[in-house]
Amino acid sequence: MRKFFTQISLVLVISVALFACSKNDTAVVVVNIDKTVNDLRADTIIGKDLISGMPVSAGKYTFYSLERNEIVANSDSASSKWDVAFAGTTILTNGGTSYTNGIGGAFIYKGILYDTLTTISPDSVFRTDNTSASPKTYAITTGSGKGWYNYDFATSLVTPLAGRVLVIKTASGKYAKMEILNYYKGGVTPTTGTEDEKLAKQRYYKFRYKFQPSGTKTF
Amino acid sequence: MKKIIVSLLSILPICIFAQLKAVKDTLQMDGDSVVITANRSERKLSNITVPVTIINNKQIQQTGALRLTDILKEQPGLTMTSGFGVGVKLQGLSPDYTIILINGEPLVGRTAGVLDLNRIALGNIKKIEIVKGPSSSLYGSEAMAGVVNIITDGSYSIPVQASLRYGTYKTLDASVSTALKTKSFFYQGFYNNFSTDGYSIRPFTSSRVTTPIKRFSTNQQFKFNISDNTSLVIGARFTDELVKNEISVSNGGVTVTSNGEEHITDYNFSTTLNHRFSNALKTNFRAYQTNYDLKQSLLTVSGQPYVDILNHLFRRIENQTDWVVSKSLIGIFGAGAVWEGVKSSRYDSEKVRKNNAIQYGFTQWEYIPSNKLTVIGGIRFDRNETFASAWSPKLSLLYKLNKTNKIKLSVGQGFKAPDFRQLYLDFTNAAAGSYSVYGAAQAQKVISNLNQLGQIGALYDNFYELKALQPEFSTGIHITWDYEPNAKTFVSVQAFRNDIKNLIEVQQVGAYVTGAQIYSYLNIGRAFTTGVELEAKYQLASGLMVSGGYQYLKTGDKDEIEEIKTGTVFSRDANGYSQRLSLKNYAGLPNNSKHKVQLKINYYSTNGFYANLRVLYRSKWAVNNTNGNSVFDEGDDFAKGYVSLHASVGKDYKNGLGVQVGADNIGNYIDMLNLPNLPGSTFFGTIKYQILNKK
Repeated sequence: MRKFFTQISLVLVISVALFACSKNDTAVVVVNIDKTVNDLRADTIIGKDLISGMPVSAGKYTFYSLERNEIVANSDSASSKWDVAFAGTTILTNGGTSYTNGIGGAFIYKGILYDTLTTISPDSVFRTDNTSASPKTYAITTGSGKGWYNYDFATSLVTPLAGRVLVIKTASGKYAKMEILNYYKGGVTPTTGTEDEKLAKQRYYKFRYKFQPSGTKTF
Repeated sequence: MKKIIVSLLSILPICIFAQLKAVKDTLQMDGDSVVITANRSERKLSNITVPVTIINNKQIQQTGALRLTDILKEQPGLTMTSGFGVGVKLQGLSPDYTIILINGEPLVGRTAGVLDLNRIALGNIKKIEIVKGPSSSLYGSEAMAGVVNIITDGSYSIPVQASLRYGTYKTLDASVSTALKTKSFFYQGFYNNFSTDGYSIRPFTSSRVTTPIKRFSTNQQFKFNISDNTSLVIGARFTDELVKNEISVSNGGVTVTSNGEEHITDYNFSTTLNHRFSNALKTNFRAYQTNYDLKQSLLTVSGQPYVDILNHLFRRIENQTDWVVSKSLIGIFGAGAVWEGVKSSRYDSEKVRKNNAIQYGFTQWEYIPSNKLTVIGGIRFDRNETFASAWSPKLSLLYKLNKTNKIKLSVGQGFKAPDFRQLYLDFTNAAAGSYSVYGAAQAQKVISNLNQLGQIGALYDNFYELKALQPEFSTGIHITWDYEPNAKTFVSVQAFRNDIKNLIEVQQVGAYVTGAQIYSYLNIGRAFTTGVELEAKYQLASGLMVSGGYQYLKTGDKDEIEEIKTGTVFSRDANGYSQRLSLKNYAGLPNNSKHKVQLKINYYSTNGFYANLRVLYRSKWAVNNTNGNSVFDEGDDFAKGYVSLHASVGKDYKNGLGVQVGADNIGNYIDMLNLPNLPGSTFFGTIKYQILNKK
């Protein structure tokens, strides 16, 4: 008898638990994505031009979906499946005049900590890429000291500027915040390496981001 | 390394006790020795009101120092820098802020602000005087951190002396000096030939860190005693240097290796007429010319030629009059004019000389109200044709509390005129993104012209702020306490602070249509260096002396500190996440070590035997900015602190023969990235012979 009761109560508990779970699942569709991405290749160096000695890469962007937290195939570049794309120090967003598939954009929030940035102010202006302009302009400004990184001539190292958060509007018009943590393989800046070692290790992004699936401007 | 220290320490006492005939020498505090640099007129060291270090000939010879670099690196409060030759930092201030003089006349030929101290051979030198703190009131521009004055031997007393030294890396140094002395005519000549194979401390590569060098230098000095009260001194110095170059330049990942040579010649020529009207009044006229010429010719592996030239001509005439008004009042008046010009392939035309003319006047008054107090006040005015003029006042005093305690206090203003590079550079780096740097004197004109041609994409706000550059100014305060309780002990403690404003910095002022940056120079920076220096000497036994020096240094950029205080500067934590930088983790100006220590043991005996051991320590220093902000902080790339050991042993025989052996960097400390000028352990042997004047 006692055994029976135990079994019944167990069934009850389990069914309640199951019921509660399914109820919760319908209330919140997806969880807030809060991820760190390591060693995302961004058109890495594959060799040297025999004549000029210039480092050579394949010249291809790595497309990334912040919504699904995964790399998007290059064959889907002309779609709204991706949110950001990386090649060298250039970061694209899916929007603007050149990438009309998405309605994305971005701006750089300077002088703030990633954790402190919890709401995007309503009057924020999201910039878009314009790759048909000359020179090309990007939502995430390129150039040392102007956008997300600093390039040091003396050490030929690229360092992400601290205290800068990239506020990104995804291809579907939702919001994410991103902090770039490192530009080198394994997330370690090679301060003592030779020129060739530095080249071989660069263009590996390490970044953390938070994506708000509800479409609101709060994180 | 420990083993080596221990074995050395065990050898040293043996050597010492082997030499029983030790000297009965008192601790040579040089109180009676004479200093010329501090007052531009000879004064007893014990009456000098500013911090002075004297390195005498004996010290130079016994350490086996060959070049000015070798001896300066062992002095308290001085740090050597590498890059564009070896420069010297005084109290944390860059090499551009220290004037280097030979017999009171300035040396020129600075690359990127650095005057290569390896150019100066140490033979035939009587002493080196180092004055710390702003001395522009007497010496004008560049004497902001201090003055290093090399005083050549003027004794004319050793008829012939020759020395030959051979050491690691086939380093050969040969010197001959001659002297002639008659009643009214004096001559002294010095010839030096130096060559080295250079060395490679990078394993598995053929590229040398220090390249093969051949250097010839000579000094010639003539003195005519025209009458009892009038003399004429003519001095000439010439250096010819050939450096084999193998340079690898990396830009944006492209490494280009070039081979070739660098040919440097420089000469100085000075004429001084001294006249004594009476014991109270004397004057001297000086005419000086110096010329520095550098030509670097390189050929890249693919056959591309590259030629870089730099020529600096400097002429000066000057008069100085010393007037002893009374026992308690002495005045100095001086006035002069400078013409100088620079030609460089990095200016708009390498054929056109850029010129500047300076006229100046100075006066200094020394008031000695009692034998306890000396007060000195001085002021100098420099009028420049190409940039703003400068006033340099200075006030210093010495108070002898009693026989054992002395206090020195000095407050002064120093300046450094904008150099030719900051005024006239016209340089576009085609190899690295085609960015351009234009000197401030012509930036506005050049950029406006380019704008009319439609080549300019953006002009920043600071482009409109470009104007005639002002000199950089510093205010220095030095307080020194000298303590000499007995004949065997000497302690000196010094606190200093230098505040610099108007620092000239490179800033981006615009961009080309292509996006490439355009830079120029603006007077924007404010910085400080402050610290404490300690020097102590103690005579352990007859002929045996221990001495030590310590420097604590703190530096900072005032604008950076303000930004850190407002919370707008960020660094990264261990995870790479951004964090607000706190002042506690701020590292100040790069390439400065917080702690520096020198320890020396010297032994000498009456029979001419001597031995010494020198230990130098330097704590870590910031070298590269790698953690995502523009300031140097604890998260950045530092060079490791290190200890280096040096020792030499020698004997000077009564017949004029001298032998010496020595070793430098005995612990074999190597840091190929940050200390390219420090080879591993090196050893040398010297033999010299002098014909002494028989009296």
